[in-house]
Amino acid sequence: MRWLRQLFSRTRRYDDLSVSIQEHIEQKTEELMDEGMSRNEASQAARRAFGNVALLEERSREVWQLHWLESLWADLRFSLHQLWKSPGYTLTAVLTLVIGIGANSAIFTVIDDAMLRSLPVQRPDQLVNVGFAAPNMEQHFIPVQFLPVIRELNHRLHGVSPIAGWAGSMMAVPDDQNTLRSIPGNLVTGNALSMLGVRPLLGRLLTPEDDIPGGPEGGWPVVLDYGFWLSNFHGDPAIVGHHLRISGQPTVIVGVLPSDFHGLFVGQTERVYLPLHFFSALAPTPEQDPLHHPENFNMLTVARLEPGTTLRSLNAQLAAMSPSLIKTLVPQRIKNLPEFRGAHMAAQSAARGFSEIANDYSKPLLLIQGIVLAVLLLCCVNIAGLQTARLESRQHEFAVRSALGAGRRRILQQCLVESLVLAFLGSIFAAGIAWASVKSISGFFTPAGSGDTMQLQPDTHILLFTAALALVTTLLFGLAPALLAGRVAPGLVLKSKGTNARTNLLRHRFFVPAQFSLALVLVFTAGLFTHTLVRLRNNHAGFNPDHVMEVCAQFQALKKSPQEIMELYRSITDYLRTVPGVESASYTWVTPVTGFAPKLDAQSIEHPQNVHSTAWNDVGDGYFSTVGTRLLAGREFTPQDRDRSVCIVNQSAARLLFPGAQPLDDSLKAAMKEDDDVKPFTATCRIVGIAEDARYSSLRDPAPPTVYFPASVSTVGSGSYSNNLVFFIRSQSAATSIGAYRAALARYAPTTGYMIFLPLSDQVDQSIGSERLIARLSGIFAAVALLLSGIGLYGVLALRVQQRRPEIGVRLAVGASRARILMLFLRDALWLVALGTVAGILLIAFTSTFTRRFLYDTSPMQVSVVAGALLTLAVVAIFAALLPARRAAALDPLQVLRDE
Amino acid sequence: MAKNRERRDLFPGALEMMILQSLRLRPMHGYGLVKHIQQISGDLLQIEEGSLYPALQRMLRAGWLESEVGSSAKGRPTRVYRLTKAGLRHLEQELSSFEQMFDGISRVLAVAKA
Repeated sequence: MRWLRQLFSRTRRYDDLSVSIQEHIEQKTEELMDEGMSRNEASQAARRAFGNVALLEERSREVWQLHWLESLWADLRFSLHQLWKSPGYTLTAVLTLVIGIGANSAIFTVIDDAMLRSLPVQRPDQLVNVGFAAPNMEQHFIPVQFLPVIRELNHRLHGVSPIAGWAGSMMAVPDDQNTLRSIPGNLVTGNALSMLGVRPLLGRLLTPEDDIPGGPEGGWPVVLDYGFWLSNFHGDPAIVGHHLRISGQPTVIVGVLPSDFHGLFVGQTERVYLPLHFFSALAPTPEQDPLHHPENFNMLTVARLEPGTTLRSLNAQLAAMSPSLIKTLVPQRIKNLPEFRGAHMAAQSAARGFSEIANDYSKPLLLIQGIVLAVLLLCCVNIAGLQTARLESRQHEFAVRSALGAGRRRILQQCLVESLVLAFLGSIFAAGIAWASVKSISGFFTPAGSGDTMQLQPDTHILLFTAALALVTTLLFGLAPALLAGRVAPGLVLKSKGTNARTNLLRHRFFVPAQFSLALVLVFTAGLFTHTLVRLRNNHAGFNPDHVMEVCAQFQALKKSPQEIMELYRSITDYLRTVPGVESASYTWVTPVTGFAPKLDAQSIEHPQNVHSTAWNDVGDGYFSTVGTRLLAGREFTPQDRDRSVCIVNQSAARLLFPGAQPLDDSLKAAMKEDDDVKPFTATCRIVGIAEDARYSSLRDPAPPTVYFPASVSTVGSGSYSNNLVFFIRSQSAATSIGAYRAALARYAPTTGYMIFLPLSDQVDQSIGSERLIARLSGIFAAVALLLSGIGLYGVLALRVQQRRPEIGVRLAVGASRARILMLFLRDALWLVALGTVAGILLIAFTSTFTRRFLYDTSPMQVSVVAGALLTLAVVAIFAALLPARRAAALDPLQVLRDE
Repeated sequence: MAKNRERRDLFPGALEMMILQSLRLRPMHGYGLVKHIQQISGDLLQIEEGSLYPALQRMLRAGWLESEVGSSAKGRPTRVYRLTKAGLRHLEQELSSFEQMFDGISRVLAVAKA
């Protein structure tokens, strides 16, 4: 510990040293005086002989120092002092960094959570899905397995835990107003949670003993996830043991899961977990119980590799068992599917779980990451510019320091330490901002009409990433100015108070144009994406989503005949129409812009050879007026239209099927083939109306030719989930619609619930989530870029005016007009901006290859957007330049020359 | 730090050895050391202040010297450096190894002459 003691006794040592040296010089002086010199001469000679006292003291002190640490500490203190002394500069730099680093951290966190991070469970690397691999499957693999196969594999596989199964079903739980709400629930095998190594926050997990036919004694156990517990029970710590009625079945809450656990699906929240055998309790009839036909029942599988087993050895075992198991245990109907051709059993890593966001949004997210990197670069250029200006004003200090013997490395170090301090100050706030904004960004990822909320979780990665960014940015914005600062020629600077020509050159030729070129790219891309969004929004959708509330019926568990179900829809709709404030109400099978687009083959009676594939939908009476689609001819469906003998076609279908004719009262034939979701049918219908074209599966696709039938017994004929049509309720207030539907349920279907009340306009927004996300964020960042570049230009010009004061004074004195001076500086600014613009246009040509795929009805070189971006940039540049230029023009020549 | 070594004349350790040996006689202050070594060597060796003070600090740090208040040639109170026991031990080690080395070099030179 001697070095520690020495560290503390140093001040005394340093004093001793200075005294010794003083005494040394004093003694030499006295001796010289003894030889006959005058005191002055002797003292000067002694000092000359001794040399540079300060340098020598410094060298002698260094002996005692943990040198690098000491100098870093000194630099740190000096930097903090310097930054404290110029709060304006510090604030600007830190804010700039907060924006640059914060934006990157936030987007990175989203990407990390959605695409990169492993599940927050024990040893996620050991988790595998056991499913089928085949060349024709999406991603060549499906992670599901049939129940009998799972049972067989659990007997025969070695080196792997029993396979856990995950399935899901909608379940009804009472909400705070005691109306039932339909929520997606997870039905899992007893080992599913414990094998993941999750520790319950409260109570216990499900166990294999819970998962038995009929449920364990004491009632079906249910485990809540954190989100469900919070939103439904306000985080009640004594919730374990409470009873909860789920879809009419009594259950008992046995545990609550920790907040970071979201099951296998990234971003999902508010789930309940029940044993797999709860399926039997949910089924209205034994035939509808999936476990009643285990040979057809398949579910998502997860297993854990035991130490010593690798994915490869597991796959080898599976490959050996695959042919016989597929032959005996996989249903023939599955083996007949084209995707199943060549399938064999296989396992894949399940470490990252399943991420819909990764599937749907990976490209937009990477694009946004690119945008925010450009913003960060711009921030760095901006701060580098600020720093050079600052170092210029500190040139005198550097010159003095290097004259006193400070090496270039020492000056470089001090400058970098200052940059590092800035970067870390910025990154602290940046991490906070990123943490807070992840939630609002994840809102954009909600799948249209799903009623799900996506919830992404920031974690400690965010801090590591931010710290790493801080280091990188320090080098980006701090290195060049610091290198320049060390290059001063002390003699020149001290004598003439001249400027460091290199920094000036760099600032003028590089920083400002670089800023403007990046800003141009950002403004231009933001313009393209906004243009895209506006085009999508203004696309005449053919329906008016404002003031329409959408709610999906949850009649899957009703034990009623199709006739009774249809009667229920009519009664509820009639009731809704009587509620004061409700303008109209109806119901539909397909909701617009959800991507769902069933097709049938249609042909007119006159041209039976022209068979066309058209979209179709079954809708209730009054649907078109409720959703806001105009009828161009004929009439709407009425309550008397109760089968597919009448139909309404849209304009496109009319043109396609009846070219050049007026199809009203004509007939068409429609044939719906076998499909997963729909029973096949054929119909010959009389056309009673022609509707305007309406967007169907998405806003991006033009309205397809569409045939509408009256919703009827055939629509809900196959029972279960096909019982569920979607109500549309039009009224001026959402509360009215919601209240009306609650009342209708209480009156006509008290045992069923609602899933979510979703304004149709929100669903339209959700369907263009990635476009909105890109447009919104790129717009914000473009604004930031403009602001930063404006500040940068202003800073450069202000400094230049300062430096050229004497020259301006002389010019004014010899008769230059003020307008001329103004123009002098404006021209200067415009040159810089023009330089940046040229570079920016080159960059745009380069980036257009990346942006092209995200555009809709917009060219990657859209002329109006180019013009708009250039104009915006010019306005910002002129505004930023005008302030210092006017100051220059307003100088009083007498005052300036007197100051000289 | 690199520059310190360049300024150290002679061979590594020589300056330290001479300082320690000088201080063995009596505690001395900095200027005294410079003069002492200059006189004893008959002006052959000149010690630069630029290397003296860093060397003194190194030796203080190593614990070979102690600084204390003594008096100058003119009887004025001044900082003087005194050899410690550790310093003496170090000096003796250095001397014996120096003598061996010197012996070796002399023999080689003698053979070369013959």
